[in-house]
Parts: sequence; structure tokens; C-alpha cells
Amino acid sequence: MLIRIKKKSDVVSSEITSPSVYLNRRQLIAATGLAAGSMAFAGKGEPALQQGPGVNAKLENVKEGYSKLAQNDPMTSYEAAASYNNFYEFGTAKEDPVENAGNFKPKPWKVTVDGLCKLSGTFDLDEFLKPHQLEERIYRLRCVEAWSMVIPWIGISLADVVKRHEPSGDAKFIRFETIVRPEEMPGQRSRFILPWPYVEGLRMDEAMNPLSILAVGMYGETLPNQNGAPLRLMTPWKYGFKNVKSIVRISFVDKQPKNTWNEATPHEYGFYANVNPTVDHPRWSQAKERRIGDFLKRDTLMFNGYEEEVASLYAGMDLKKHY
Amino acid sequence: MTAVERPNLAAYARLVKRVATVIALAPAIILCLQVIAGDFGWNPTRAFMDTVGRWAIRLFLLTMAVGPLHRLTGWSPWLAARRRLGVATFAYACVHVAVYVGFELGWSWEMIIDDLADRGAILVGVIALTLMLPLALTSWDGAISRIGGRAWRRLHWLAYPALAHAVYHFGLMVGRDKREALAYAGIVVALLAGRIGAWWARRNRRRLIS
Ligand code: HEM
Repeated sequence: MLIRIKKKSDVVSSEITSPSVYLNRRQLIAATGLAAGSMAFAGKGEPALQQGPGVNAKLENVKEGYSKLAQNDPMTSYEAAASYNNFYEFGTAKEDPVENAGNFKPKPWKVTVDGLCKLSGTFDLDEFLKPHQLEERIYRLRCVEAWSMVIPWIGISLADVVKRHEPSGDAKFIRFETIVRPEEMPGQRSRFILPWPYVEGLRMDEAMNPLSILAVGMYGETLPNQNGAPLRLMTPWKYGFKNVKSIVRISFVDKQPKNTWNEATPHEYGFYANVNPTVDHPRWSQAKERRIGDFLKRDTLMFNGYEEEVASLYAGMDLKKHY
Repeated sequence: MTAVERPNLAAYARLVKRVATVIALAPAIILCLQVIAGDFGWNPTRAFMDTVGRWAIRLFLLTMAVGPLHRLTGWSPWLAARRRLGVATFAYACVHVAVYVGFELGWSWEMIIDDLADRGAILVGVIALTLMLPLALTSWDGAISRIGGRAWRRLHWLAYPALAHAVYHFGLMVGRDKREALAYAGIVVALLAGRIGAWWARRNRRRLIS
């Protein structure tokens, strides 16, 4: 069931931050000396599954999945990952999502699977997730705005989901759609911001790549609303905006879907959105990025450092044209 | 009557100047407090740079509003605020650019050249700053007498294209939510219309006299 593409040598266990590092300051102070002490030890040895900071419900039965980090990839703090977000449904400023997502209700949740596939229908989220194994994947996240994080996601393999729903041979793409709830998502009350619903898409072979997951949690717990609860895409070699949040609809289609940012500003955002230091955004360079927490920028890696895993998907394509 | 009023006006001018100093320094103080309070969040250099840029534009608009204020009220002490606000505008713009070149580009010439060559929005900002430069350089007392009041006033027409480029740069840079930039663009149009109107009226008056 689990696709084993993990190479032990890739993970430098000592580089993975112990959970105590991503606990926020308040909780650290609240923790007893003994608890804090044992937490500090949890980071030693094998890259154990991440223990959450206790903000959301803890996720059970999670397997350790594929995580490839470099020497200088310490994990981003939970506090940063949960409060510095782009989620325009809740407003355009980075702090808007954490401030405005409090009224959003990720439960109960239904996901519709439709289009060119055998097993279509509308499923309760639990029912949708049940056949699949939860895995923790620690991935780099590179925003198109030249900042980045390292986040321990928990999710299910997208390839497994695709296989289960048995798409027909004509299904060449998958289209994802975010929920529309202007009463809970203040950003959606203005159509000037973006045309809603937010739509993203993947080519079928991109969706089938073992790196692609549908995430339901991070840092050992269910996703906070501002991070795309209860279900979001995570394709770590693509810019963050590709990873559509709060998904309600997954459609198997024969034509390349029109993704929202491409529709809004086609000269700035394309369909592929692969992280590429040699293809700049019209308004800024993509050669470097600021890892949140760092002062100076670092070099951006081709395909966000996942070149080995995904480069073959784009063999022969002009990535300057297909940005 | 004028004999009584003149010293008064000078005193008012000094007061206006003092108020202008407070206004000019206020953003710097607010910025320092924000830095100390950690208000700039998880990407502080970027947030700092954006905030300084916005202050520069606001001060620029305020500087340019002094002239119309004088024309509308006929009260000359207002003019005493102008130079101070203008110099402050330039200073904040320089801090904005310094943070960009220093911390975003890491003083890399390669990245700086690349930026200028490839990115229109940056180029518009550079044009804005370049147009401000001659005004900043002639902002001391000696300069005015050296180049002559007439040339100095002519030179200050540059403030309008400088402001227009700064606001255009803001609009290009700000992403999807362009409301603030559009509001500023509206103010620029109004300022420019007022200035041209005043110039036109004076020209016609002169024609009538001659
Ligand atoms: C050499 C000249 C300049 C350069 C290289 C430059 C560079 C930049 C860059 C890279 C950004 C984008 C920052 C981001 O995306 O967050 C920006 C935004 C901005 N700049 Fe400049 N700039 C220059 C001149 C100016 C001047 C003269 C002003 C004002 C008087 C100004 C005001 C602004 C404002 C208001 C923003 C938008 C901030 C925001 O997004 O909130 N810039 N500038």
C-alpha cells in the first residue's frame, strides 16, 4: 500500500527539529520542566513522528512517510506556519487568515468526486479518507512570493486516491475546487480579490507522482482552518498557490483546467507553477528565497529540491514557456 | 497692517515647521516601536520595507498638498512645512531602497542588474527615486540662491512625475488589493489638476495684463 521511495541517507535526522522547537513560547512556558525535558529528547535518534503543539486534535495511526530534507532545513515553528499564510478567502494580508478563519467550520465536511471516473459521488470526509493510510511527510514549501518554510504534513497519497476512484483513459487532468462560503470566508465577499471558487489542477502524471498528497494535518494534528482545513493539496515541487485548500470537489477531466491565478493574471502565473530559480516572476526574482526565520535569503533549488523525483515529468518541455 | 502681521507670519511659519518636523519623524518612531514590539511578523525585513515605502508615499502626498493648501487659504506659513516633509519623504524612500538592496538582494550586483533589466515595476521605482534626487540635492538654503529661485521652482515640477512614478510603482507592486494605491492615484490626479489649473489661471492673468 505504502509507496516506499524513502532513502534513509536522505534524511539527516539530527537536522529535524525536536517538537519543543516548534511549540510556541506560551506553551513552552506552560509546560513543566520535566515535560519540556523529555520533549527535547524526542528529537534525537530516528525522525520520530511529530507531536503536535496541542492546538488541534491529534491524528492517530500515522505512518512515517517520505521526507527529504537538506542539511540546513530545520523545521519551521508551528506558530509561523499557522499565522503567516496566503489564503485569500480570508483576506489578502499574511495575518488575515489566522485572524479571520475562526468562524470557519471544517466539520462536517463532504467531498464530491466526479467527472471521468468509475467511483464518483459525494463522500463524508471520514469515508473519503478511510481506505487510505495517513502518512507524515516533512516537505519544503516554497511560496511564489520568494519565502519558504519546512512543514511536517500529514496526509494521504494522491495516487492512491486516484486509483481508488478509477479514472477512465480520457481523464488527463484533475481539477480541484475550494469551498465557497462567503459568510465564513470574508475574502470571498469581494470578487475584486479573485474569481471564486478557487480552482487548481494537476496533470494526471503529476497527481500520480508519489510526492503528491492530500493533507489533513500538520505537526501531528488536524489542519488549522487558516492552513486549509480539513483537506488540501500538497505538491512540494510547486509554488504554494498550486496547493488548493479546503477542497470540496475533485473532478477527473480531459482538458487542462483553468486555475484561478492563471485566470486572474496570466502573465504572472501559469498552470504548472513549478519552483524554478531560473524563471523569474515579472515583479521579482525567483533565484532566492527567504526561509521564514532567516534574515538573509538562500538560493532556491530547482523543483524546490525535488528534481530527482519530478524532473522526468517535464522532460522536453520549455519551462520558460510553461511557467 | 502688514507691519503688524509680518512678524506674526514668521512666528507661525516657525510653528508650522515644528509641526512638520513632528510629522516627518512620527513614522520613524512608529517604525522603531513596531520593530521593538515584533509587529513585522514572520518576514520582518519584507514587511518593514513595504511599510517604509508606504510611509514615503504618504509623506510625499502630504508634501504635495502643501501648495494647494496655501493657494486655497492664502496663508503663507503653510509653505514652511514643505521642504521638511519633502526631505523626509526622500529619506524614507532611501531607507526603503536600502533595505531592498541590502536584505532582499543581499548587495548582489548580479541581482541588482538583473532586477533593473527585467522588472518594469522596479524600474518605475528607480525612476521615481531618480526624479526625487535633484530636489533632494537642492533642498538646502544655499542651493536656492545659487541656482536662482526661478530655476529652483522650475526644477520642482519634477516632483509631479516623481510622485506619479512612486504611486504607479506602488500600484504595480502591491498585488491584488490595489485600493490604497488607487486612492493615492486619485489624489495625484487631483493635485496635478489643481496645479495645472493654477498655472493656467496665472498665465491668463498675465496675458490680460500685458
Ligand atoms: C530604487 C528605487 C526603488 C526600488 C528598487 C524599489 C523596490 C521595491 C520592491 C522590490 C517592492 C516590492 C516589495 C514587495 O513585493 O513586498 C517595492 C514596493 C513598494 N515601494 Fe518601492 N522601490 C523603489 C523606490 C520607491 C519609492 C521612491 C517609493 C515611494 C516614494 C516606493 C514605495 C513603495 C511602496 C509603497 C511599495 C509597496 C509596499 C507594499 O506592497 O505594501 N518605492 N519597492
